[in-house]
Amino acid sequence: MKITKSNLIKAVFFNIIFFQSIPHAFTLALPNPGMLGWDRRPLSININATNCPSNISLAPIVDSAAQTWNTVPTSNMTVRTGGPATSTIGQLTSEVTYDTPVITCSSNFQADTGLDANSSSAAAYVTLSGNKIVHGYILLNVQTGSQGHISNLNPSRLVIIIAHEIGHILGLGHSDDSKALMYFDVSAKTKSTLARDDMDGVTYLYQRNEPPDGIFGCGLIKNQTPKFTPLWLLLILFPLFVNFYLRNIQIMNLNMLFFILTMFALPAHGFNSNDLWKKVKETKYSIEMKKIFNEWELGKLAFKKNEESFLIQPIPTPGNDTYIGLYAKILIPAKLTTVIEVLKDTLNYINVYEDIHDIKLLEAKDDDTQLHWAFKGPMGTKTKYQTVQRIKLINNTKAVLIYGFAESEDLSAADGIILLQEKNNKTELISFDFFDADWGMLAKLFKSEIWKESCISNSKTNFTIRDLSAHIERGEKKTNYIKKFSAPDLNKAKQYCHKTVDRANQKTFETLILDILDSNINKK
Amino acid sequence: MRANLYFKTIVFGIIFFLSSAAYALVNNSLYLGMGALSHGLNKSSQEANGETNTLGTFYYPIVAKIPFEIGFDWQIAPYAGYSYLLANQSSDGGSKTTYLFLGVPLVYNFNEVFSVEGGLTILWYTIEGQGGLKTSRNSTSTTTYGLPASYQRTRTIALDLGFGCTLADYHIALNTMVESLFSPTRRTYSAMLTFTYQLWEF
Repeated sequence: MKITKSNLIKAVFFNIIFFQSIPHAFTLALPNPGMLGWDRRPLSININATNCPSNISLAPIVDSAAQTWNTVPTSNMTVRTGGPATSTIGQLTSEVTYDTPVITCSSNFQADTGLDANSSSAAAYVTLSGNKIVHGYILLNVQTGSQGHISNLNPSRLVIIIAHEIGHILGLGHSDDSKALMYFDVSAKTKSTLARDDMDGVTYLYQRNEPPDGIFGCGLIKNQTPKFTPLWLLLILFPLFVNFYLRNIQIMNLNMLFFILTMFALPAHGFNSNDLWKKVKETKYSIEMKKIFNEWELGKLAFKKNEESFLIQPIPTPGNDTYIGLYAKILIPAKLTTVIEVLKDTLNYINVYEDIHDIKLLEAKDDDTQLHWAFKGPMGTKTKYQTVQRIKLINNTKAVLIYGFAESEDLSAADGIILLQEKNNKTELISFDFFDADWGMLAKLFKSEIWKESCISNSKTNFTIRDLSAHIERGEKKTNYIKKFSAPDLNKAKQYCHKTVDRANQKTFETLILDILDSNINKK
Repeated sequence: MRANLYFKTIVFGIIFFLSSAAYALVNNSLYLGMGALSHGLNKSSQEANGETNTLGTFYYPIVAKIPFEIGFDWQIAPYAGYSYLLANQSSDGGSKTTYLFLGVPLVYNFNEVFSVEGGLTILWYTIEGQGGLKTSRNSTSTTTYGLPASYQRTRTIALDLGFGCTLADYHIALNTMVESLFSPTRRTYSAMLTFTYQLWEF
């Protein structure tokens, strides 16, 4: 690659972004790589102020310093100021004390610590038992005449120094990172803040676990067999349940309710789950549609003139708060015969209807077809049903497709009728579709979603029929067809589907049909 | 003049952005990409004097996202990220830190481009020490310290609020994570920018 200014900038940028090295250089307080921290939570720092200057109020300073270590979200250690301690320096150095950890003042700092009293103001020590810290203390320099005497420091500097020493008490050694509070020299610091390095150190020694071990069983595995409680099981299954239940909302609700009731609640109370399951084979909508099919002279139907290429409206369903009836119109740039070809190509419905997982042709006689469909369900192919559909050519320019469920395992109502009319080499498709409105509990929680979901689903199907027909009309191979709707189409459909329906102007099913169709409708 | 130029650039950018072909997150699809997690905004010391910086520490996870439709304009889009490949390595090689996280946000699509999301994310932060000893300065002398030798993992739960936009097969999201929400001292804000590509629809 040619070395140009542009390439150099790119290389530097890439290196900064992707190969940033963070100096995680924290060390442990003692030369024991296996050491860990205190077992206590919280850790109280007790104060023996016997030798400390009377003009320095140590408790609030220690408290501020301790708070510095309580800001790490990934650590569960809380440090706080404890009570007054009585341990002397002699007891602390010989580890004979009951109020550890202790902070106290040393008037013989250089001798007690071995450090230069002119350059050091404090020192900290910890002792291990096994790999855990069990003892610790901080000595503050009050050696008369020394430059490191804490009286020479202002309170904010003393906070920084004590916070650094508390870091040692927690089990941390010095860091090579100058940004870290545990850097050996804190004279440059103006604020008592932790760097990532300090945070990593205290996180390494005191890990936080949210939620606490045991709730999901994770923490129990080490020591004992996980206890399978109903709560445990519920927490594991709940996200899956919510996802599948909501995703397959129309299809799934009765299934899931049935499953839950039969699995958990009902057997315990002696109910027979079969009593809950009642199939509804004929609905009032299917009766209405049969009326149209049987009583109206379909050949004389003429569609109302409407310039919109796509339209979708609700069909009111008296007595039901949800809108489950849909009237949709779409203009297809293809001849009637082509659209019929698409509608008759039942095995290709898997590419037309979004949720169909599997489809089989059970029976085909003349224009009557019986299909077995499988929808995507919780386990993939659980939801299955059979439909019967008939396509009837009225004349050269008009056709009707009527469909309904033969016997459904899951749905209680879904029927529809599609009217087709060819005009100027284009075909107008008008569909009356009825969806299952029984959404169970969710019908109460997300009532408005029933209309929207059904509406958008219907639109997508109509778009697919339109696009596929146009595709074939252009003489392109069907195998090249990929279902994907253009954004403007979907946006338009969503605009329709989002519309608030004026319930005050609801019409009956029959008056709506009259509205949609021309008034020159004649009965047989 | 300069402000005017900025304004024009922003307006042009918005127009260009909105006019691009776009689809909302496609349901039942696998989105795969890269993220940049800035952990601990304005939290950790970034200077020798202890001053904090707006941006925290960066981690670069590989991110996978799978959206599921749960209603009109609503999705659940579980996502997972792991910074294993680009783990933050200590300058002395003493330790390695990685972030692994799993989020389950609820997504609301305003339109075909923009969406907002909110939910809970669980984060696992791992510090893997290599062990050994190290001599560091201590006042005027030196002291030998231990280097972390074990593998320690911490687990936190964060409130996750985000904003996303989808351009054709690409999805960009900016999320804010709040750890220790109910603790005024520990509360930590982090930001994550993810850039994913729709790899597979199932």
